[in-house]
Amino acid sequence: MALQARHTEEELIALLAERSERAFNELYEAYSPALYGIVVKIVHSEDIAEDLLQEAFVKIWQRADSFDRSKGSLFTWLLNVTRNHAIDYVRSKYARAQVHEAENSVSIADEQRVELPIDMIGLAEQIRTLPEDHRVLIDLLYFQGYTQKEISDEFQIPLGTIKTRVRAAFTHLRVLLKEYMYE
Amino acid sequence: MSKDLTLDPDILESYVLGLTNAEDTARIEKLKAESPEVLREIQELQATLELLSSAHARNPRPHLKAAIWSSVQQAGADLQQSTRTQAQPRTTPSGSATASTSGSRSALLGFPFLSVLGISILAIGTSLYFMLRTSELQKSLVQTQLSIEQYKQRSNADEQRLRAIEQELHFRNSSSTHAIPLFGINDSKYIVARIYVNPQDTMRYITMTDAIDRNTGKLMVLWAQKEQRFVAVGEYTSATPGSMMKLQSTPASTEFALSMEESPRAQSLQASRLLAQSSASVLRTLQASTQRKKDPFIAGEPFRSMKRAAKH
Repeated sequence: MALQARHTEEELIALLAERSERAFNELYEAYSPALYGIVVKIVHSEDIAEDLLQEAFVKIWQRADSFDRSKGSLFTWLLNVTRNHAIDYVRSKYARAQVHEAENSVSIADEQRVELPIDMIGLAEQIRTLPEDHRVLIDLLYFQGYTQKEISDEFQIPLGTIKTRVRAAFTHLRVLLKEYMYE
Repeated sequence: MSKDLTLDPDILESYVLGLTNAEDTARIEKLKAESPEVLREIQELQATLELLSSAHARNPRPHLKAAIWSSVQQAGADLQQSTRTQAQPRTTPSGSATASTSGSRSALLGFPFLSVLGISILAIGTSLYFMLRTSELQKSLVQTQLSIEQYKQRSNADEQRLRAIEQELHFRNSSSTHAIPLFGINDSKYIVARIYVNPQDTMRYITMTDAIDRNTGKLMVLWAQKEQRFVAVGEYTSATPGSMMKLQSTPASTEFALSMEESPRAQSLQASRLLAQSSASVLRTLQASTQRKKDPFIAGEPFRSMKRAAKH
């Protein structure tokens, strides 16, 4: 689900196969805000996020042939490539120190650079209405790359309880975002 | 939803988060292909995550697009180059000529590099050779120095031994030195030895090896013979083969008298006292024997005299 799609996903997939400058332009315009946003959310640093987005696009360009439409949408595939790259970075020992340093300055940058598209403002507000425990769970799982087992170990909560809460959080989120889903 | 998936209620969430293992992933994808319900469930979850990501969307800074395009182009060029390189071995005969030309160019370009490499290897090899050679020479030098030191030490020892022999010969050949045969009696056996005494020397060490019964290691009585006179020179109970006996001449005696100082290896002072007593006694016996002008050795007198002296 691209934010500013001028083309359908099918058209974008066809463009990606060309690997032309036009294909890059269309792909970048359609998906870069979401991809960039998720990387900033993960690494808490715009400078690092720019580097990581650049590397993620290179990966996308090189692995375009491995995209399988049957496994999900193009956007999901792009998100997975980018998110995994950023999480891998954060999980590397070296990067942790850098991210920790950047965390102190990112709050100022966040205030200055939030430029959500108008149709996404309501979406963000809806997500903020999630209960705290659900929001934290989704944040840990999706933006920080934790597994259920890691969350269980970290917070000393039984794994079964975590799994139940994860399912509840997703159900809640799906209900909240239902109205945006088929626009 | 399939019965399998209901057993693990969060498995589809785990799947869309990429947290399932290969086995579960394969199982879910199979179910997804078979079950429209599972497919829709997964699509909704993926759409939820897409929306969640979109909620955090932000526009990158304008310069980033050009930078990323540059990187993407470079990656594409590298990929094409890699593909071309991998495809080269499968070229047709006409393509072989091109490859050959390219190879010649590479060879020409590689010539200076190979030359530098060759010279470097030669220089390193030469350096290593000289380093090893120097090391070997140093070792050899150290060994030679050690050998010289050993020769010096051996030479000094030999020189000292030679000097001692010279002194001993000089001493023995001196006109003032008297060679005195010694007779030792151990049980029924007697032992012949010889000592040299020079009255001008107050002290002298004489090897007594030959005066010791090699069977028992004991030397009971020693007799000294000067011309036809005999002198008892000592009695030891614990003589050691090769030990030195310190003799002292006594210029005050009529003919000569021997006294024996305690040897470092003697175990008591008794030897000295016995020597003094025996010397006086034997001196009298010798004087009497001389008056008889008989060769005590030929006549067998020394044995009787020695026995008498020993008893006395």
